[in-house]
Amino acid sequence: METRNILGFIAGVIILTGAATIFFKKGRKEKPSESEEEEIFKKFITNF
Amino acid sequence: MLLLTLSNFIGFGISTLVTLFISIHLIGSYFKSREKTVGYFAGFIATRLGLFFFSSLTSLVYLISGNPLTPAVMFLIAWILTFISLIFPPLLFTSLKWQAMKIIYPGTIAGLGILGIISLIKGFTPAIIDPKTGLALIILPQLPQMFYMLSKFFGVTPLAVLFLSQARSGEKWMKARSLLIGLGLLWVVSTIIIPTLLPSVWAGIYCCIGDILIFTGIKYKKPNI
Repeated sequence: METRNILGFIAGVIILTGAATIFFKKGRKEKPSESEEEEIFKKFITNF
Repeated sequence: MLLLTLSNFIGFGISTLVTLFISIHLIGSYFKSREKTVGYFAGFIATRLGLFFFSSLTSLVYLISGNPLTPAVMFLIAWILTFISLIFPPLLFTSLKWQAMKIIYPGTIAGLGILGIISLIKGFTPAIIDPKTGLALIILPQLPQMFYMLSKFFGVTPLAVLFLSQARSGEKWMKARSLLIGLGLLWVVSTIIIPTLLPSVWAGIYCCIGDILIFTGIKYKKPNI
């Protein structure tokens, strides 16, 4: 893999991680409680 | 880059069979439960089935016909399906967690996928023969490779971490199921880099291991008492 590729990938990771952090912080304010999330996951994993 | 060899046909062929079994299981479960989360998981595996099918066909068609163009078209279809498959893990992740991001997260991955598909079509080339080894290969242009790496890393890793984090709680069979599927998804993420470090003929074999782990997790059921 070329150096240009690796640098591009690292730059992309940094930009997307920054964007994800902002949105995660926003999402955290509106997210359901831990137990609610666990229930949703439990329902999912028992459904297949 | 994909070498058009028998070992890659076998590796991707195994992945095709494994994802076929998982798809049948998950699509059946979706029609029983009508749960959108199961539908997204089924969609992810079913599009992977398509991409593995076309990847194995790429090698097989070249080995039978020796034609450089038809396998390249199949390789292109396999990559378009790769980008489509990567939209499903964010959809599933935002249904299970971080519901506030249900548009922006899958939308970002879909955007990267669209850019990847456009750059793939623009850089399309038929299969060529490597003068050093005498083996036929199809080269993937650098730009779609970049979009693939980013969308796979950001599309699948959060879901893998979610599965692994859930392996701490619940009944024993649920923990084992979450752990196996989580590890399988992590293995899928590792296909961004690892196959490029291995001899190219092993790419197909390496890729099928993640799906075997996911298959084992799905088949791990609540024990009958």
